[in-house]
This record gives sequence, structure tokens and C-alpha cells, in this order.
Amino acid sequence: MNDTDTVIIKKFIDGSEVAFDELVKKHSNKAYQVAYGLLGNNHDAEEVVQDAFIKVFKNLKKFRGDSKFTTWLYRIVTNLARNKYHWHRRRGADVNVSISDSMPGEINSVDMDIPDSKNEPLKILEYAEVEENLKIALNKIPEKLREVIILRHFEEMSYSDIASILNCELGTVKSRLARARDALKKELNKLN
Amino acid sequence: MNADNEKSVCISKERLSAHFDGELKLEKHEQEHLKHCSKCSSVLKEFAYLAELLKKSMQIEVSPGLNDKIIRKAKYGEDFERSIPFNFSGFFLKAASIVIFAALAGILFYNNIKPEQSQATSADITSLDQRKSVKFPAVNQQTVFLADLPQKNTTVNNLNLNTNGNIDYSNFARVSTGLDHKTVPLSTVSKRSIAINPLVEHLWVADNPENAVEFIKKSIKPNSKIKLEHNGNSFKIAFKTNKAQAVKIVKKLHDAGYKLISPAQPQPEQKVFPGSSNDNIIYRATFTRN
Repeated sequence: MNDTDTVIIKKFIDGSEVAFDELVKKHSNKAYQVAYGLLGNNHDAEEVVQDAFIKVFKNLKKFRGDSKFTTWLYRIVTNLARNKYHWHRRRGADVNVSISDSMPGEINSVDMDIPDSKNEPLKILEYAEVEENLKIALNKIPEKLREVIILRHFEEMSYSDIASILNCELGTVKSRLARARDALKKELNKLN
Repeated sequence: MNADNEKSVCISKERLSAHFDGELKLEKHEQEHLKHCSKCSSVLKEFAYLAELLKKSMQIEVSPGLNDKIIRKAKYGEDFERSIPFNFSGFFLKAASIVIFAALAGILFYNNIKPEQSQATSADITSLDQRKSVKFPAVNQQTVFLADLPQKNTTVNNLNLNTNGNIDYSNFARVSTGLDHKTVPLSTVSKRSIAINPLVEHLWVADNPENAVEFIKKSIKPNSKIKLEHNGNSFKIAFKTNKAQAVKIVKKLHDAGYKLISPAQPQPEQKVFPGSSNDNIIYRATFTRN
């Protein structure tokens, strides 16, 4: 646990509710980024972050500090995101609407990128398309591989932190990461 | 080093992956191999490319109100409700009064709307029929839940207006009453919260539809990707945006003289929408010549 989080949590345990506000402000953005990476949509990611912090608020006084606060927080976020993902899958609602979908009755539709006049427009447009493809590809790789690659590329999280968050062995993280990169590359190749 | 040799001593992807992440120190012979092997080097380059892509794609910010929402919900949400002692008789009386009040309000509201629609005369119908004919774009009924095209058996239909898409419905909106949907004059809905669908399809009429494309281009984020299709006198445009931006664009187009035909939300007059302003939507519009 880094000092700042330790101090904030100590304040909270001593009765300062404002300390919780500090934790939310400090970590909500990162928690949201992880949730968004795992779920791929804004609405679900926000819900997961809200629920995660509610859990934190309820259990913070019991937090012993054996691991980093962020490890604990991201474990909650990952578990909640996992639940939400499975809930959507059961309901068959995880279908992404893509801007590339044809409109009904559309024939010979041609994608046309309208370039902006500044900031290397072609590069920006190319990147927008790659980013869209990345989202689709992430959605297609197995959930366990997606989790590990999102956590790794988020703040360069260490293998041991990832293992702690996902409650698995270090070797599992290592092999899953290699498989995740391979799977992601294959899916991106298919889309390109 | 020939290809066979390269293949026989290539480093496993798992080891390369861990080495790339700084979690594994390669053996001396592996380090040596890496200096000469184009295959292993290109694997590392791919990892670097993916890492950059993932990092960039995760640079997103939470919506401004989220922190307050979290704090409020965590501190006062469930605990606040739990702290109120449950009083059954008081609860029953309150619930009954709410039901009676809602029923009275509903009757009053319905009576306010009904005469307005049923007072249309044959002259009104003629004037509607003489308007410019336009086709509605197809609407995916599964995604449309609050604002929709007028359908058969609505009050509008009782005026003997046909619903084959040749009528201007821009003064009406479909709204949810909780149990079903009603077609009501647009002027009555601006203060009610009406949902914006994840997929909005709008039909606009303009003197110069081609100008609308430039207009939209200026109104959205510079790096947005736009799908555009030109077909005779009409332009179809589609892009990803969020609720707040869609509302602004619709208002801007309306203020610039473009005429919105479809009753789907957001409408230029509508001011209250549920959900977060950052909710992503896809906006598809067809601009047709007046």
C-alpha cells in the first residue's frame, strides 16, 4: 500500500468520511478505465465503478492493508465486471452496434472518412478505425485473456499484482498474457 | 543465420512476452539470438504495437458527475433508506394518496391532449396532405422504446391520415406512459424526461442537404469517423457520438433552418433526457432536398 492511500484509509477508519471522497477522486478514473477495458461500454463501466466503491465504503474499515488498496479495488472491479459480462451473455445482450453496420435497404454503401484540416487527419482517422477494431477484437478473445491483458497494459501492472487481483498463479498470468497477445493479434488481423 | 537455424532456437512467445514486460531476464544465448533473429524481433515489435494501442485506447475520462454520484450512493444510498423506521400505516396512506394523485393527474393530462388532436378538421388534413412528401427511414423497433414513429390505431390515425410515410409528423412525438405508448403533440413533451435511444435515426429536409454534411462535420469532434452515403437528392450520414452532443447537433441544425421530420428523440424542443450526457449513441441522419 502506498503511503498516501494508507494515510487516507487511516483517516477514514478514524471517522473521517471526507477521506472516502478523496479515495473516490483519486482512483475512480483508473477504476473506470479498467472496467471500460473489460466491458467495452460506458454505461456498464460506470455502474461497475459505482458498485465497486459502494463495496469499498462498506468494507474499508475491515481493510487490513495486506495488499495494496488498488489491488483490492481492482479485484472488486474485475469481479463485478465479470458478473456483468456473464449477465449480459446470459441475456444475449452483448452485441455491439457498429457504425459500420449497414442501414436497412442500403446498397453499395461506401465508407467515407471526412478528414479534418488539422492534426494529421489521415493518421487520426486511421487510428480511430484501429481503435474501433481493437474494441471488437478485445470483445472476441476469451474473457480470461482479456482480463489479463487489460490489467497488464493498465499502468503497467506487475505480474504479481495481476495474479493477486485475479487470484491465480504467477505462471498462469505469464502464459495467459502470451496467449492474449497472440489471440488479440489474430483477431485484429482478421478485422484488417 | 539461415531460416532453419533461426526456427530451431527461437525464443518461445511466452518467454518473449514476459521479457517484453520486464518480468523475465533472458538467458545469455537467448539475448544473443534476439540480436540476429528477425522473427523474434518482429514478435517483440508486435507486442510494442499492441501495448501502445491498448494504452491509447484506455485514455478515457469518467463523466464529470460520476464521483459525486458514487459518494452520494455509497454514503446515503442504502444506509439512508435503512435509517428510516418503517411505519406500515403511514406507508399505506402515503402510497394510496400517491396512486390517487397520479390517477387524477393522468385523467387531467389525457383530457388536455385529446381535444387538441380530435379537433383537427378536414381542412387540417388537406393542408397536411399538400405538404412535401417525404419517406421515413426504417426504424429498428427493437431498439426504439420511447419515441417512435406514429403507428396505426393512434389518435393521429383516427384523423384518417395514412401512415405510409407521406405525412409530416414533426409536430407529434411517441412517448411512454409506463404501460404503453401514446402519440402526443410535441409541444407538450419538452418538460418531460424522454429517453434517447442508443441508435437515433432522423430524417431532415433542407434546401441544400449537401451543406448539412459540412455543418455536422463542424459540430462534432475533429477525429470522429463519419460514414457518408450520397444517393441522388439525399445524403445519409452516420457517426458515433454521445447524448449531449446529439442534442446540441439537433438543436443547431434546427436553428440553422433544417427541418426535422422524424419524431424520434432528441427533438430540438425537448429539454429533459434521462441517463448520462456521456452515454454513447449512434446518430444516423438522412438529409433530403426540400
